[in-house]
Amino acid sequence: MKKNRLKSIFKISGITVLTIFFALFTWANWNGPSPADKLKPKNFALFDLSNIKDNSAFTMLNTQLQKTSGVLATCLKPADKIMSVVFYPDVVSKDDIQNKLSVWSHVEITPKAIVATGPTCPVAGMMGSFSMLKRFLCIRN
Amino acid sequence: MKKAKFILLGSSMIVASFSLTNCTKTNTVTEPGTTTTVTANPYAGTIFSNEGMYAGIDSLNTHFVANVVADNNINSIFVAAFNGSTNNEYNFVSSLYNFLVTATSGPNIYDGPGASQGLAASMKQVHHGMNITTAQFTSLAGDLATAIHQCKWSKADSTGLMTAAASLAPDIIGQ
Repeated sequence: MKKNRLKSIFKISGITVLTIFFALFTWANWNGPSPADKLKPKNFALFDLSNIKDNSAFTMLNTQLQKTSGVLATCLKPADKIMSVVFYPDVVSKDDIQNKLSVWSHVEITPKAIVATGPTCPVAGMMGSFSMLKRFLCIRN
Repeated sequence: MKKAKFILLGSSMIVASFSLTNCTKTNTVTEPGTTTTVTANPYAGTIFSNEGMYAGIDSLNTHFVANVVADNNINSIFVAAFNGSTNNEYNFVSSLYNFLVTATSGPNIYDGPGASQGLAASMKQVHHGMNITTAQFTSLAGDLATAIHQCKWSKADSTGLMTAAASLAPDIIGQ
């Protein structure tokens, strides 16, 4: 009696899990990957350049960084002493860029922390888990 | 017997999923009286098409992201993208990319909240409760204008995209 009950619980659980999986799988593959999903992933970083005292070093750093393999775009703000970098993470890492900036400028360069000062855009965080799941389950090219 | 039925059902579900997911739409036009099939560009004449389609928007978006990240007036709004998760960084970059593809009259691929009701409705929904100021909106528009300049877009397309972005101001500011 107990064995039969356990068997039916396993059966129902199995069917439920399979149904959920197939539903998610179909949803993830229904429209295929979006054009954004077909792009090579890009990351970005923001660096604090306040340790640099010589203003002429900013331009040199920007020029050097733009020549670095895997770096796609930079934005230098000398007045705020910050610099942003967009890069391909499979070619160059955030740490690599940080090390290069420190070597070129002869001072320690650190990532700039961003602190929320008010309401923030929910899109990046909110859609994170959904889009990650979709990318994981999508087998279409 | 039951097991075999179960396996058969599972396999048919997989096959059905594959058949459904491999139904791709093609935009082809067959010219009458000929056997040549010409692939039409349904976006001809749009900013999206004029500026290099997906690759052009990708380049614009890369510069736009760099400019936004280094913009102290607005980068704190996107703090979720800076929290160390590369997935959030990816989502930030791809959301802006999807937005730009749609805003340049390319394929409607923006999939943010409320996107099914259009870009303006989605902007209203996404920015609800954020109290975006005119100064913050202007700053973001400035970052976009700089990126357009960096990508050397034509004046007409530059004006076209900036006008499209400006038309969304009432749906973003003060929500």
